[in-house]
Amino acid sequence: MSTSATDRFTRAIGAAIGLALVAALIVAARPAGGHGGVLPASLRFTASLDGAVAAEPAAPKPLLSSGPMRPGSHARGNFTLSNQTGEALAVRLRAKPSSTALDGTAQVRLDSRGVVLSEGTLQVLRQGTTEALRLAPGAAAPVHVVAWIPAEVETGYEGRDVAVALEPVEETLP
Amino acid sequence: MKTTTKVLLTALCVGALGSLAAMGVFGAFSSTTTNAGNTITAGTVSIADNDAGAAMYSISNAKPGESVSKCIKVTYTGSLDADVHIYTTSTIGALGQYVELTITPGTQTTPTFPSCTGFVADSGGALYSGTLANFGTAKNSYANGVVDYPGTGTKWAASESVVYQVTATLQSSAPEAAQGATTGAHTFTWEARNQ
Repeated sequence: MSTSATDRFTRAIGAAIGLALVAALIVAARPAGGHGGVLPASLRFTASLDGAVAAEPAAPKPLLSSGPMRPGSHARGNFTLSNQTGEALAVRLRAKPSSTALDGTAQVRLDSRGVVLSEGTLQVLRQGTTEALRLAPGAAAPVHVVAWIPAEVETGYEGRDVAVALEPVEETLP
Repeated sequence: MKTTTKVLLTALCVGALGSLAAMGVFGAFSSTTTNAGNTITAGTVSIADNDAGAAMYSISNAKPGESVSKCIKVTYTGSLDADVHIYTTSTIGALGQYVELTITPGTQTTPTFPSCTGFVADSGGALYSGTLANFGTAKNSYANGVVDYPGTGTKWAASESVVYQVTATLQSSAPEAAQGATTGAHTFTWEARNQ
């Protein structure tokens, strides 16, 4: 190999090494992060009291704290509702979220004693459960809560933290 | 290469490099940061009971010595710490001076209005013990109402509750003049105000 060819080869190797070092420096300097660096969502449910109906656990204790939630994540919680009045009651539960950030994204199902009280988006639950929980005077019933972000959701949940108060709405049964 | 050409090429290179540098400087000056989502939300004061709109007692044909004892659970549902006072704004009828009223705080494992089954009185005893008539004149506003807190606390916090046993007794010594008299309908008020 001639001297000029050697020089050109050496320069090419040097340039390649330099470029590789620059590329490595750029990759190493990127911020750390999993899941593509996307912040998860979180949901926290509490049960509100109104005198006629007692809840255990009652606010401010949470009945469901989801932790980090991403598409496909599910969170579960339970609480007990008790009729403290002398009348038979039909009790519906209405969601009061702290913001609208997850209204159309988060799905929520409430069921008790094998009956689905409500299943749909958090926004739908703002209107109240479609089915009422019937409680005799002094009676109590467990309620199960499941909240999830559907796996097919691509965006609209990132970094959104919402606290949801479940408020009872009663009707006295004849 | 002529000197003029070299000079022009040098100036071109310096100018190009200088332009790149200037772009970087102006980029630093135009950087911004924001802090969004600032809100203020007021707390709440809210109190409720478990009577579903029903009266604790309604006695007719009461005879001297007859007593009625009912329990009502009062729950504080607000977010701000509060004081609660108990009073009545009702005008008590003529029989009120012969009715002994006692209001006792306590707890109940499974409250079911207006039953007192399972009621356990607090160690401090009755909050009020006297005639219904005197309650109507001496405890007729928040200012002079009976003060109570859950347990030994000094505030009502969210979700705290107290069960009150309300006992009304027609005095055994009620005179003949009390026959047919009435207390009239009267309302007990629990009012909460934030601390």
